[in-house]
Amino acid sequence: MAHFLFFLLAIVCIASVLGMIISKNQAYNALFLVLAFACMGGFFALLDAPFIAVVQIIIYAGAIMILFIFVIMMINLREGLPPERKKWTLYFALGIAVVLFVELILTMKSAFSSLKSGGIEKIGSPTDIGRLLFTEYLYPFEITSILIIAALVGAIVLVKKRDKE
Amino acid sequence: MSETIIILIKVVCALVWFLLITLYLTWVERKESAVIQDRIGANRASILGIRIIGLFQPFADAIKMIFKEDFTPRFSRRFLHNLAPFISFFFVAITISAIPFGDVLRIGGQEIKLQVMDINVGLLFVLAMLSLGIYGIILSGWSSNNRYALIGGMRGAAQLISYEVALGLSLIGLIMVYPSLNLSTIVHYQGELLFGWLPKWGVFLQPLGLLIFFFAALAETKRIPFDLPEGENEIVGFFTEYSGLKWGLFMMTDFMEVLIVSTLLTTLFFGGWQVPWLAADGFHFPWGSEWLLPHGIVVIFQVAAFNIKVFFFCWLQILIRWTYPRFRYDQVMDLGWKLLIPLSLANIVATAILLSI
Amino acid sequence: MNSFSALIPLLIIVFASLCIMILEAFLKKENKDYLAYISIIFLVVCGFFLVRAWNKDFSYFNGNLFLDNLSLFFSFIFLITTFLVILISMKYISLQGVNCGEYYSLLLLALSGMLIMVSSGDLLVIFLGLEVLSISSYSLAGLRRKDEKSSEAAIKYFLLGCFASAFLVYGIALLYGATYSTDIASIINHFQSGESLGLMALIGLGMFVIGFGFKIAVVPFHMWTPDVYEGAPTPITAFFSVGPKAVGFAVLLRVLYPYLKNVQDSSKAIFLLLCIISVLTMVVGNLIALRQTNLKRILAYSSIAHAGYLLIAILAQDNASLVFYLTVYIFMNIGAFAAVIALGKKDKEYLELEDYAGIGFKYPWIGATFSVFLLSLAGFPPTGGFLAKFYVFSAAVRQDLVPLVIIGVLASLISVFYYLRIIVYMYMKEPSYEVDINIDNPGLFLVLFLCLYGVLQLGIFPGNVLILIKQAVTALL
Repeated sequence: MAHFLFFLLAIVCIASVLGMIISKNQAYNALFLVLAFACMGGFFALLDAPFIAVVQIIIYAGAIMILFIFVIMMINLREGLPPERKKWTLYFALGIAVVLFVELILTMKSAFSSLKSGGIEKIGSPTDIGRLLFTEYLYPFEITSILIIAALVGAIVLVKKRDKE
Repeated sequence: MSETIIILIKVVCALVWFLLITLYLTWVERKESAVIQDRIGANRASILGIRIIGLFQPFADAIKMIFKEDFTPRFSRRFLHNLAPFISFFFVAITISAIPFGDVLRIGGQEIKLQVMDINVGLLFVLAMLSLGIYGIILSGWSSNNRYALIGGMRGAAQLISYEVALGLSLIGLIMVYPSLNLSTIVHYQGELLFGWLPKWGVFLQPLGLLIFFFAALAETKRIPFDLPEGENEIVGFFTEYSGLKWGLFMMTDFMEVLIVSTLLTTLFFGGWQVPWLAADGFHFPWGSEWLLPHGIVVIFQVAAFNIKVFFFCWLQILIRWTYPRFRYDQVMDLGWKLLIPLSLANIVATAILLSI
Repeated sequence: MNSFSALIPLLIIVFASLCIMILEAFLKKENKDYLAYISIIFLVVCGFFLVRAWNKDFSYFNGNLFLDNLSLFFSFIFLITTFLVILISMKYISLQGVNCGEYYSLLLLALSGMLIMVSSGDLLVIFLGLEVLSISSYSLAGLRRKDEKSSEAAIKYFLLGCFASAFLVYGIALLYGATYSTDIASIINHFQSGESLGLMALIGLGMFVIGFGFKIAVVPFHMWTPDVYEGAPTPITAFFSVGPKAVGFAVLLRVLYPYLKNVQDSSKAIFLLLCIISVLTMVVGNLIALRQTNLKRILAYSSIAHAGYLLIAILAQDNASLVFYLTVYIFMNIGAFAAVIALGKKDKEYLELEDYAGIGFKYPWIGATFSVFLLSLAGFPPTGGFLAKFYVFSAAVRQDLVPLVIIGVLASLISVFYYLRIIVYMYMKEPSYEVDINIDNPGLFLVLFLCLYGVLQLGIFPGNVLILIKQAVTALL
């Protein structure tokens, strides 16, 4: 059952990512991405990490992508113009893609060899994550709050109404 | 094998309960509005001349809806247009699977949880599904290729995103009090007693959280006084271009949301299936007397209590819908961002301080 | 020593930033200068705590945060940088219409990001600090909202910055996958113990270097630099040209120094990568600078070229010379930018080379100090720039990096041309039109004076600072 679900999700995920890249309409791109994110959530659920799964769906599929789609649908209802492409960028991108692919395979090879079968840790429970966040990773966690403040202030400064001049 | 059958039975029961209540909510809505407006309301539908105050009306409506012409405009984005109502419907309907209807039922040595799926993070699961439901609205508005529908969809998405923040934050205080995200565990915690006599319900521990949650949830149902996505007398709304069964699905979704909000209110703040002082073997009153009951009766009590509470909140929401005028758009946004979110943050801080004392 | 004191400097800066944000809402527009004074007060208090922590080795959060002498020294340098940038901004932001309290607030947040980065040995924390710095920088670059170029700068910086961050995170992830740790010390340990280096770890380290390469603007990851430097408000450009660069080198020092020193890397991949980047940076940066006529762009390319010299110091594994170079670089670069800012009036900045004709005689103070800074950037004695380059190159010769040194010296010869051209314009050209500027700018002249003092002090009597630096870099051994 788990294997079947995994492959189903994997196929849907890869297909939707491909669809995102191939489709020329920005709104469809974003929707495909939502689907991919939802599948990622499914992966986490299969890995016995329900908290991460649900958070993945709430934050990525539910909040961030809604804002994306909101903006896309609001400002640009035309079919997207294909961007101007130069030949060499295509080949360059292809080259990099091949390199990354090879690297991925190498990584997977070394990762599989060190992977021990059995003994799956349960890492996904909210209690465990909370405990880790407030003990071992307290400092990075607190820094994140500074990061969010910086992002908030920065965004508001750039878009707020100007003073009357 | 028997487990699979039990799960199937649970799914079917929950869905039938859900759809049936939803169907009858339409009737309640018509009757209640009629009473408020000094009318009689739907009472004509009859089977073989039996009318029973119009109780067959929902079925007549449903049959009408199914046989209406299903018209898809030529200028719409067809696939998404057809998909949108189902997305809306699906993500609301699936939330019912996380709600506990009662405690454990024991039949023939088997323990059956009266809950379709006991998810570890049930509370977040419900929120996640509700947040995915936004796609139904935004897609229907956009794919209709109609300005009014688009405005409705955009308004809807903006409103839902805004209130989702308050909705989520209002529940954090609750999670702090009942240290769990599991809905059935939260209900179990609410069975304990405060000072020896007061049930430890969310409403007593998190009054402010309840208020915020209630307002935010009202906004999530997109009904008056928060019905800007539909805006019946100005833009008609995101389902302008829908007809027949698909329009019906949107309509159903609305009522299903009312029902889901009621079940959530019940589960989180009013003890779920808990009856005050009712333990697994009967009543233990705070003044010392006891009234022991067999297991079956206790379960019936629990399920009945759950249903009564849910019906009460459905009734309350319909009452609100028929007695209040609609907010202006800026008022909706102000209420969400400037009042509810700061209040919910204050609630979290206050809860933390009280807990640490 | 595990102590809460390690956290205090960071807390002060973050608190200052929040304070200013709140005060900004209540202050009248005429009184916004107070915000600058308040931030300076906080900076001074923070500096006091930093000085007190010298030689004490405070740490907190299980060693995730530590204040060894190196991080203290760098933190102090960043405080000085921010102090100088605030001083040159005070008049500028009201003249150029970017008057808002968030300016200082974001600047302090950026500073806190830098403090986080230099005071941690954990790649995760370093990454988060970098993001704090970067995100504040993106919005600082776009603050001149009347000007399209400023928005362009913000967008370009944002997009390429995100790209760089992606590289960085990917690199960190690969390093973690290969060594099971995000802590620099244990990563290096793992490198040392392993007989052969995994390809994954090498690629991870390479990506880490590339990610930081964007931040410190080395060729070929420099494309964003000129446009961002040109579009951003000039004081912010001064900040960008020293702050992120210095902090990037501080982190690279922490990672690469133990790596180059201890790890037996038979393929020398990272070493070669750094060599190539360094040569490209010196040559390309200086050559392109020759053709620029906009002062901000010239200084942008000059700052790219300086990153190349700094990389030589990393390759030569001479930490003291690297830190000394960065210290000098901060004074001379901020000084040069201050002189550029001085040439401005209400809603107008003079940034073209033509505008500088005859400035040397009309405004002798600005002309003279600017000349000193330019000479120092070019590496003339008796300025600090000369000593800095001298230390770096001699260290490289000791490490048998003669080809690199030859290229470096040739590149600095090229650079002399465009630095001197500005001086030639200032003193030997007849102005063809009137350039009148607002000279009622005490903060800026204070900065000119302080930087002049810094450059000359470091050039003529560098002894005391060198002792401090020697003490600081022992933290690495």
